[in-house]
Amino acid sequence: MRAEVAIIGAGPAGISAARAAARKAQVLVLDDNLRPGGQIWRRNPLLTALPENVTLKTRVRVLGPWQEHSLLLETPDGPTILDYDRLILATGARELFLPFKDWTLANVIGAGALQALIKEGWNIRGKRIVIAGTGPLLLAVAALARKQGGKVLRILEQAPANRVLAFACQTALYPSKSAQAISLGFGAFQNYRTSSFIVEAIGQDRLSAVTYQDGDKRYHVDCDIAAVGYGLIPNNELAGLLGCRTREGYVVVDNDQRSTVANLFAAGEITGIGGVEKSTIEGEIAGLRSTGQCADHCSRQRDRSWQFAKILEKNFRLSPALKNLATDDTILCRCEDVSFGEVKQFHDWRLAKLQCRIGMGPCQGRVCGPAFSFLRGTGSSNVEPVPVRPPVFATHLQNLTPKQKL
Amino acid sequence: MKQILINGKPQEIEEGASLLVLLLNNGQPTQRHSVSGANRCGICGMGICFECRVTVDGKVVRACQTGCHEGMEVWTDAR
Repeated sequence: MRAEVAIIGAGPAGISAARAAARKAQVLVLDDNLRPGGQIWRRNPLLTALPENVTLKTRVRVLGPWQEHSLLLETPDGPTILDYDRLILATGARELFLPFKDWTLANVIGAGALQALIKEGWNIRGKRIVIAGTGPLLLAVAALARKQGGKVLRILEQAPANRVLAFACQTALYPSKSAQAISLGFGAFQNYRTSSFIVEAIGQDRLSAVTYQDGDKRYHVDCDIAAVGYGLIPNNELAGLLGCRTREGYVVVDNDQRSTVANLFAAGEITGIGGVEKSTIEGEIAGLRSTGQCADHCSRQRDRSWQFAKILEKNFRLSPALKNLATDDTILCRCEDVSFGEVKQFHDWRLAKLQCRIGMGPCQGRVCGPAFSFLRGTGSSNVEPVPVRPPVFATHLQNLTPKQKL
Repeated sequence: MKQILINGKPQEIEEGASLLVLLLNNGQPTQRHSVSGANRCGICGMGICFECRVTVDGKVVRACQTGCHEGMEVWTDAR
């Protein structure tokens, strides 16, 4: 496979980059999901329509760098090599999961996961749902769940009320965002709690209730689904393997979305969590600049989206109280069933890994790594990335030996 | 009517729909057992956690990133 411009990720940043780059170059967009759109445009074909000289391939996973300017891919037809002139990373973000007692019970899922699965057709009509974690995403998920007939019993936000209010006021400067937040907020107000978090999942073979903390008190709620997400963290594994410099886990880019590696651009959530507007404008800039086009008209909008990102980060910072949710017998690494008690003596990820097998299962530390950083890190709420090794994703051994270039 | 086999039982499908969602809508939240035998289900819904892995036509895949196709043979409790 060959591409003048290869884009990894078909979410808002990737799609927007593809449209911009396609004015000057042949573009290839790869995504590992069934359909394009990323998380927010999941199953929205209108938003993901692409110009003619863009080739989109879904169900394709990047396994890692191969040689200079080439990547090893896993496709439905087997492994292959992609040679590119310029590469744009738009690999997006995932949820941060923080372990609490029995969070491994079936039907305890991510908040973004609930959103994604509803969009894919999960029938939640009549299901009793508790949504918890942090950030405006919780309200969006609650609105969607309610629209689809779910009974949203509680929305538990870990940030204190003054922070949530500050967020609402500060984002009033951003018309579309604030209108969205307010319309979502009113419907949810009655069940919305601040400074609150789930402390325990209860059930036999699946979830039947949760206990949550609200101030000094603990409450019990019977429910069928708990959707818990403590904000978003960047999917920076590929960027790291390609040698991009990162800061606090985010890929460092200049005003042209250029990373510190030649011919390599990055756009969207991997440069900083800021939502769809930031991703779209950064994607456009990356698409334009990677093909020698002018992007001066985009800078004002990018700056605004960055202000929003900062307000988001500041107001939904994680409470240190969340560090106490995992007890000694709480599973931290779900792949290898490693409990917090086994690793709590270690501050260093690698040492913990060598001693306890944490992060050595199929997900390669994507879930437990960031949780470990948060629980064992020195900063109160810093989520530092853990070192990554190739391949980017666990794969079959035969995929590491591509026979031919397609 | 298009069908697949789930643990040997025929199941009607919509071509291309998410396999994980099909399992969930079937009231089958548990996709596999952990290394120590506990029930597990996918938590991320986006190909990250690998908790929803199942065996499809002899290959271990993530159910959340797998579409249903006629004649597919699915076994839950993949390793």
